[in-house]
Amino acid sequence: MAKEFISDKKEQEIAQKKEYSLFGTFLSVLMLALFLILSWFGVYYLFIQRL
Amino acid sequence: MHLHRLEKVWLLIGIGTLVMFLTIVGISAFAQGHHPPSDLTTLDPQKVDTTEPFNQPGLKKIGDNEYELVIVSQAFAFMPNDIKIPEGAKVHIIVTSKDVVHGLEIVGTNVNMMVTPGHVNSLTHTFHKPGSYLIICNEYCGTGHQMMSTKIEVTKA
Repeated sequence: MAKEFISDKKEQEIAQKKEYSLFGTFLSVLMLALFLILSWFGVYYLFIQRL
Repeated sequence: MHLHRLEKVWLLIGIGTLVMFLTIVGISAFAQGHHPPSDLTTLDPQKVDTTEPFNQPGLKKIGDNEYELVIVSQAFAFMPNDIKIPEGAKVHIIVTSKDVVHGLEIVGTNVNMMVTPGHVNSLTHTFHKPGSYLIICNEYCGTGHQMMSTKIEVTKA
């Protein structure tokens, strides 16, 4: 039991050192950025139209 | 601290956006003089009726197709309530409140301001298109808030 616990911990450490792929997260962040930028331009367009 | 390469990229995008936003706001405020629609003038809200120019609310011609529109707001009406403006007129809107916080929005235009008692707020708008413009109060001001509105008629020159 005790040995298994130790090996689990070692595996956890190895997994933490591994670089995760964050490509999906990055893409989601970019999609959110695109949404924000488009809404800003939308509001700006509305402002210009109503001048 | 270790950061993933993509984390660095989106942190840079975030910081860049913030810097861009502050630069635009800074230039707009300090170089171009944009500010909220408060002209920093104060008055006694209990003496609105005897204080210039609110003792005579209404439209006054001040130049070539340039007007000053003085509005007094109180629960639950805007004074005056029958405003006629010629097409293409540049109108300086000056407003104050006699009682509580009101809002002044001319629907479909960029005119939208908070009207606070004791303060004078102003905005300038040019009415390019003739037609009927609705003015509404957009700050909840009491039980009759939904009835607080008036109209501006922009007539063909």
